[in-house]
Order: sequence, then C-alpha cells, then structure tokens
Amino acid sequence: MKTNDQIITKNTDDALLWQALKRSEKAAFEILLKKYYTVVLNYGVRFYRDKEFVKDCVQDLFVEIWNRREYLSDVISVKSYLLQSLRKNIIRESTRLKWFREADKISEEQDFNVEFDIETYLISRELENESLQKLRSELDNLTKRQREAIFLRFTQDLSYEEIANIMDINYRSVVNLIHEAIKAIRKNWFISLFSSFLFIY
Amino acid sequence: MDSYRNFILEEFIQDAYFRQWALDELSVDDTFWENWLQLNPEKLKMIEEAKSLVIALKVKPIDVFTASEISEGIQDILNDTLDKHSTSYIRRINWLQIAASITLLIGLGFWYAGKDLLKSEYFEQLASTEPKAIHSNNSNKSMTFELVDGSKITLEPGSELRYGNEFGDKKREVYLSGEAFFDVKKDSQRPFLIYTGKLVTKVVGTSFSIKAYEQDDAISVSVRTGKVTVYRQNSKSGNSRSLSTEIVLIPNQKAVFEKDQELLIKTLVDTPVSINEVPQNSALTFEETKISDVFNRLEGIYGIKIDFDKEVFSKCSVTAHFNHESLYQKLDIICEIVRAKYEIIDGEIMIFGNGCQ
Repeated sequence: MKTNDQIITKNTDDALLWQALKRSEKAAFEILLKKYYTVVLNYGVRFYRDKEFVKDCVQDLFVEIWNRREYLSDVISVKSYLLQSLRKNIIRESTRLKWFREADKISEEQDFNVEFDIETYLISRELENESLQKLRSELDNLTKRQREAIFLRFTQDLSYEEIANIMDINYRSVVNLIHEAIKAIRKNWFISLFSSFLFIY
Repeated sequence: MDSYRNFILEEFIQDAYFRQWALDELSVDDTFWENWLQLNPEKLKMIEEAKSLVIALKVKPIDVFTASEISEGIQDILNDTLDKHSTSYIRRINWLQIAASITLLIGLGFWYAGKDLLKSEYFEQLASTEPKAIHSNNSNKSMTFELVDGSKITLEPGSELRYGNEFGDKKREVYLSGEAFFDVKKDSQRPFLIYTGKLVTKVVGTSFSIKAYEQDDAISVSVRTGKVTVYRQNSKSGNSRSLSTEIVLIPNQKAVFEKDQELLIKTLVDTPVSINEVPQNSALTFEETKISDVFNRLEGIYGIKIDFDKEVFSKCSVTAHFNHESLYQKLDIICEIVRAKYEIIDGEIMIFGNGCQ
C-alpha cells in the first residue's frame, strides 16, 4: 500500500497519523502526543481542579493508546476521541476517589470550569458597555453543560456531532444547549463595535 | 464563496473563520470580512450583533500548567511507552483490565529484524527433530492453513511453525515461535502438543492462541473454547519430558509464563467473551437485583468464577443497564455501585469490599 511509505511529519493530517500509530509507528504517536497534550490537559483541569490527578489521567490515556495501538478502531477525529476518553476516565476515576476519600469535599456533580473573558476584551480596547452587568448575569446563569458545549464548540472548534460524542448526549441536545445560550445572551447584549471602525474604509 | 450572503445570525457565530475575525485573530493582511461588509452593507447590523456574541462567549484560557510541567509530562509519556519495557507492559495488560483481543502485540521493528530473532531454545528443540514442514509467515497479514490432521492454524506475521516427519501418525507435536491461533481437531487418541521454549501446551480438541516470541519476556496461552493443559518442560530431563508444574485452563483463562523467573501464572484473557450462543453484545439489565444474582449471571455468560463473601454483600443490590461493555467494564461499574473492588486471582475474579447498609 502506498500510504505505508508515507513520510510522517508534523503536517501529516490526523487520520493518517492515527493509521500510522496503529501500525506501531512511534513517530506518529509522538506527533499526536505533542499536538494534543496541552489541549487535553487543559480540558481535563476544567473538570477536576487537582492538577496532578489530571496529569496522571492524561498520562494513562496516552500510554494506554500506545499499548493498545493494534486494537484501536478508526476514529473520525483524533482530538474529539482524546477529549471524550479523558472525560470518561476523569469522571470514572474521580467517582472512585470519592468512595475512598469521603472526607475530601468533592462536589456531588462534576463541575466544568469555564470563565468568560468579556471584561478583558472591553478593558483592552478601552470600551465601556452599560449592559455589561446584564451580560455578566446571563453568562453566570449558564449551566455547566452549556458552558462545556460552548467551550467545545467555540474554543475547540468541534462539530456538534463530536461534541455529542464527547458529552455523551444526543446531537439535538447539543444544538439546543448552544442555541439556548445564544438566545439568552442576545436579549441584552450588543456592542456597537465598528461603526467607528468602518469609517476607515 | 458567497454562501455567507444567505447566512443568518447564528450561522455566522458558528463559522470558525468568522469567529477568528470577530476576535481579531486573523492576520492583518486578511481583509476578507471588511471587503465583504463593503459589498453587503445591509448585513452590517447582523454582523455587529454576531461579533458581539462571539466576543461575549469567548472563554478565558486556562494556564495552570507551566511550560516545563507540560514538557515533563510529554517526556514521562514517551518514557512510559518505550518498547523495551515489554515486561511491564505484559504485566499491565494481564492485571489491569485493558480490553484487548486475542491477537497480541508485535514488537516494533520485529519484521525487519527477521530471522536473527528466531533462535536459541526454539532451534535447540528442533535439532533432534527432522522437520517435515516449516510454515513461516513473513508477510504482514495473518496466515491460515490446515494440518494433515484437520487442525486449523492461524499464524501471525513474523511467526513460524514447524513439525517433524512423524506428525499425525502417532502423535501431534509442533514447535511454535511467535504467535498463532489454534483450532485443534478433536482426537483423544493423539493429543496435540505445542512446544514453545520451556513451555508445553497440551490439548485434545479446542481453540486457543499462543504468543511466544523469542524476544518477549513471557509466553502466553489464551483459551477460547475447550480445555488446555499447560506445563513447564524440564530441559534437563531430555526426551523424557517430565512434567513439573501443570495448569489446566478453561475458556477465557490464560496462562502466562515469565521466562526469566520461570514463573507460570494463571490469569484471565484480556477480553473475556461469552461462552454461550447468546450474541456477544446483547443487553443486560439489572433492576434492584441482588448482587449474588448479578454475579451468577456474569459467571454464566463468561464461564469465569466470581468469588465474593455472600454474607458481607448480602444487602447489596444493583441497578444497571449494560450493552456493549466488556466484562471488566461491567465489573468496574458494579464495584463502583457497591463500593467494592475486584482482582483477578488464579484465573478467577475475587470481589473485595465492606458490603452495603
């Protein structure tokens, strides 16, 4: 097969890297590891604040992928596969920890830590907006699932389908989560950003 | 290009290219959106609103990990995945319940190393036997063939199977280096013997796989159906082949022989499969089911004994719905429900815990 002879570089696309990894090509594993390690780590820590715990989970995830490389199935997207697996592992492992360390205050439900950056944006551009308070309260009212969906969609650029897989909910629910969030915010929020800026042209 | 003309507000927000522009992440040379607005001035209001929303939904980056923590983390993983650690890897897949199939790991670069690796014990054994046939698989696909007695062998890449002239007459003896799956024709008069270094596997009629690569630190025998006897060959006793340790394996059990310590251990295969006719992934539902019934059910499906203290767990019940989970995943979930843990000991599953209120 032609593809077997392909030289693997940083720019090889994920699907080919995944195939190469399955054929035990360590270089492909290393490229994917370096490409996604930080993304996966930062996603994990939004779930569970214990840095070392998340780091261990991420390490187990990658080591397991390498050890099981011959049995891996094809994936539609490597990134969403990694996020989905880590999410599952963290939920499982942290639930298990809860049994053994009940003294520790691990919140009953998994949290998802997302902070919105609007203030930074406005300050850096010396903009003021009288509806900021309202926006803040709308953002604060978003559920953790909405936050997670928004994060995966808009920060991680994943498709609805990938998000549905990662969060283990159906496609329609993802669409609704995001749609409802946008609707709520849209009610009270508008910045006239470039009426002045368009002037340039 | 101009499908954007028909976009509604939400479609702009969903568009990665638009979002990049809204967040000033495009390069300064990229003036697509400015130009587009000039051509579509009637969309200005909508674009402004979409841009406001993209900005509102921007998530603050998280930076709890330092650059050095990240590079250390990557290095740790690379160290953990070096192939020379195959011993610890083999232990891992045995004792941790990582799902795996019967076909097993083939060391990186093994095919290129070629025949140099097939040597020592394997050839010593052959020295006294005049080979009648040699099947070696130098391709990169598994290879299936039938022996004169009707047994079917599937030989994995880089593996070799030999047997002597007398094969099939009075006895059935073969020598394996590498990995193969055996579907042995039943013949109680002539047991089928497979020699792999110091380990001998004896069967009457059954299917199972053996993994015995020269360069690996362990030999493993995994049973699919029937019953298999595995024993260590005492090398000093020459042809008499006295039996030292012998273990009997039933379906879903596996023997692992650690070459350096000459230790023969009984454990479970990496992915136990149903021993009955029921479809592999048929759903299994428990509703407030007593734990003893749950374990009985699993024992029936996988033919693996599950040991637990009936008194301690007498008040435990389980509500769960399983679809395609592996046995180990099912056990993980059940154990989580009743706050227990399990271990694989001597080819059986032991449940430990303090019971339920």
